Amino acid sequence: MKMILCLMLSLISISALADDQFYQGPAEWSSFNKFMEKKEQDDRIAGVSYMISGVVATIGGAVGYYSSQDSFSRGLYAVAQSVGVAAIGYGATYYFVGNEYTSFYRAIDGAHISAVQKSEILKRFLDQEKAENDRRRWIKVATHSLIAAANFYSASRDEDRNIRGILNFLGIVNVAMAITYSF
Amino acid sequence: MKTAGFVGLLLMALSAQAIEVPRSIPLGTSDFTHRSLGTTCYSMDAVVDGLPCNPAFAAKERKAQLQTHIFFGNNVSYAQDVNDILNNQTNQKNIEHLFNQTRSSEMEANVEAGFLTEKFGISFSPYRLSYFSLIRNSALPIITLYAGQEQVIRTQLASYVQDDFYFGLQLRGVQRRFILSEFTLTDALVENSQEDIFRVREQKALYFEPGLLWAPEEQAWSPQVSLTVTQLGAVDKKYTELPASPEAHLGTSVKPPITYGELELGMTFTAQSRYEKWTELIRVGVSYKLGATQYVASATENQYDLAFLLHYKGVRGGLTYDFRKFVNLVGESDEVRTIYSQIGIEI
Repeated sequence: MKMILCLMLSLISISALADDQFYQGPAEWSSFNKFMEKKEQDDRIAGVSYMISGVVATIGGAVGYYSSQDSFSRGLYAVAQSVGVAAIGYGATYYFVGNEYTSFYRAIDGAHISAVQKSEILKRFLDQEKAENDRRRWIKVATHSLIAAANFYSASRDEDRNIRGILNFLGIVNVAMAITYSF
Repeated sequence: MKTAGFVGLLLMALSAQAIEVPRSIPLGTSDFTHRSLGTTCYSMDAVVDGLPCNPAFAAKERKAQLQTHIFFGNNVSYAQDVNDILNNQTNQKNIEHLFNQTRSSEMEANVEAGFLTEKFGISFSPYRLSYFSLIRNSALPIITLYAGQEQVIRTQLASYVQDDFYFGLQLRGVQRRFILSEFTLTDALVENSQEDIFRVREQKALYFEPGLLWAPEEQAWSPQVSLTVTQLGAVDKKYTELPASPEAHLGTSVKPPITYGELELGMTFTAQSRYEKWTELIRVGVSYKLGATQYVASATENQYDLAFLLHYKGVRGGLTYDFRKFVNLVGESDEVRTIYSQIGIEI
């Protein structure tokens, strides 16, 4: 149990470092426009999918909760209900709000400026975003390197062979992640 | 006297046959993907957790991900029995627990963490427990018992070869401690007999498991054909009860294009040395993913699995219902039903 907790907590603690998806095409408005039209369509489909699946999970969770007797199952069904409601909200956000580029895209797309000027603004926006992403990436490299060092240090001090194995494994994984982010 | 004679004859008859335990229990992998899709996971993209079943699929990964999961059967109370037995602390309570069962049962539990990125994957399972008990002759029960505890480390390397062909290799190191025996209640209660019945054995194994994949890009139905060889390796000690013969899995899958969600259909043929009917070697599977939910089903002649998974922002939980029927060594029809749960985190 101690091992399982150690493993789960270590991984939850670095879960905030998840990747986002960014536009990686050329800094041309026509290309970005095509990307956004497709992404908005995908967002609408993803939004509907999340809302439908959220309704299924909420109803299923409610039925399961009221028909089960033991507390463990009731707890699981309650969690399923909550996740279902959260998924409906997540889907609604996708459908009605869009993604991280939507505000920028709608602001520029509706402006009375030429395609060349739109491309220039897009280029400045993407340059700024790239610089921010580079900073984020190097922060991740440093964070994972420090986590790896902490894991290896803890492993060298722990007397429990199983815990040492898990800590060394987490250390190796964090080194691998740091190397992955450094390219 | 007649009864004792009958039991003696029965035991002699049984001892002439190998003790049968389904291969997936002592030699398989315990996670949601393997349990719900069975062998069809070797040919399908619908991997729920852990490393891909076929290592060649690692070449198609585009995003680094760190995953961990806990997987356990509803009869997880057997975990305490497994621990007691493997730590030479078998007691009266364990034996009562075994002989109070009304039907055969199996249980798997596993905690595993893995890291997967393009062309490379590694995972570590510090704690995999497996349990199988087969009860025959309800009047004078004879129990076949397998209890095992393993530590497993897996590494996958994969690469693009040419013309939509991918190649991968999995190295799997396993350190297992297990008991496998067959006994009656009388045997178990005889003084000093427990050392023989519950004798713990150890084995270290290293498997080389290659995989091939043909997956042409930009095809409407995304067809795939794959071949995976498993259980190909070496062990430090051989046990006839744990057969080390390799298996080959030849499979195919398609993803019919649909507007909402992602549908995948797969089929796998497994070539192995032990089988009764060729129809047992074919398994079909289906996966449908819609938003936060995923529905999975797979079936072969004597077994089917139904699974439901809920995933939201990197956290997931799911249930798998597993049903298996079989004819045991004395010709009785038997079946095992188990519900497995899983909780996982993906980063």
